[in-house]
Amino acid sequence: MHWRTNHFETLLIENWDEEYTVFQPDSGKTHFLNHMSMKMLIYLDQKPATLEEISAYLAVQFQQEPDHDFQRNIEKVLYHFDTLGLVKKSFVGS
Amino acid sequence: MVVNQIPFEEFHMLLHRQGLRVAIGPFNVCIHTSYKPLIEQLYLLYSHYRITQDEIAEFHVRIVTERSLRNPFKRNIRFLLDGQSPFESFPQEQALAVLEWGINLAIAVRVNHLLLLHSAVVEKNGHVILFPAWPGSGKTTLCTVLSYQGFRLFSDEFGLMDTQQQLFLPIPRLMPLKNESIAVIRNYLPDIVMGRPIPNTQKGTVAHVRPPEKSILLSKHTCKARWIIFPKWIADTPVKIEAISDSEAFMMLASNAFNYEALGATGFCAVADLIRSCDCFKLVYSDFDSVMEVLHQLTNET
Repeated sequence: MHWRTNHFETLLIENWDEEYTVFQPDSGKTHFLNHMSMKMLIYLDQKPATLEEISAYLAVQFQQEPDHDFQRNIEKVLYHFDTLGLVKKSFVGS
Repeated sequence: MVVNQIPFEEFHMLLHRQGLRVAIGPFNVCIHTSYKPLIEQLYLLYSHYRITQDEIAEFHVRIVTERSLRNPFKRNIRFLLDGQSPFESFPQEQALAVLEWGINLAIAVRVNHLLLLHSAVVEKNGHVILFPAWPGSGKTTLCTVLSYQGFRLFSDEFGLMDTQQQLFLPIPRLMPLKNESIAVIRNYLPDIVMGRPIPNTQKGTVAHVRPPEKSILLSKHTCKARWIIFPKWIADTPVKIEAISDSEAFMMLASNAFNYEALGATGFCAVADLIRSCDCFKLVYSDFDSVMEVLHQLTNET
């Protein structure tokens, strides 16, 4: 399963010293994102990626151990973003 | 012509017949009532407002009396906005409080051409200070003190922002003090004009302070914001003001707005512009002298 962004190009993003407020026109909601979350969205906007690929990328960027706990936390954020409509799942061939 | 330039009988007649039209900030409000105790209070507390009988009114409000269903020997009052009743009826003695809440409601639900922040607003040295806060944080009390101690009152309740020009519009209205604040302000500012305390309202005892005449006279003078200060009164706490991050200020300000979500991207961009142009702080205080000193220092530094 891959993850991809959902209408990333429509988001209005304000950078406040590596913290971000994001306006999502689809929902009319404003979200508060930290630097890692924003990196995740930007990465997924380049190309769809698996949980493992995203975790490996972020672990390198933020000098974290890409262990099971780290991957679990990334997965939680992805599912949370899915409920917000910021990302969506895609399956091979779909 | 302002209210205190006409005799009480004429004022009474206007409210009773065609409705009294007064300019409250950028809006004209047309008020109808025949309830004499309310008319007497309005004559005192609305005395500095400009009468606008020949102008279009944005809001048409009424206070009418009616018999209580539970007790037919008792009369209640009801607030009407364009003939519709958004509230239940209230005891007659709460007429002024209900009228003021009703006008606030009308502004909060009808005005969407401006960003409406839930914030006290005052002006000093040509710049606006916003004090955004939810009820109970003491913003009306603080705003009353500031507006009678060298700051110009814009509002104790509404930060009205023209999002195109990033200007704040004054809307100086009666300031409803609650409970302990009434005695505190009476002691601190003994010369101000305050209405009779109204007990047993939904917010406890309420007493309305008349806005300073100068603030009403200058209510067409808009200003840009320079400071955003999130205030909190905590008993026996020394005054403390500390800078907060822009991102925190953004989220707190957006969550303290009446119509931020309704304005969509316009609201988002307006708040972002506002945060960028202001210094943002959290303020904790318990006594007015200390907080005045801190605010005078802050506003005189620039």
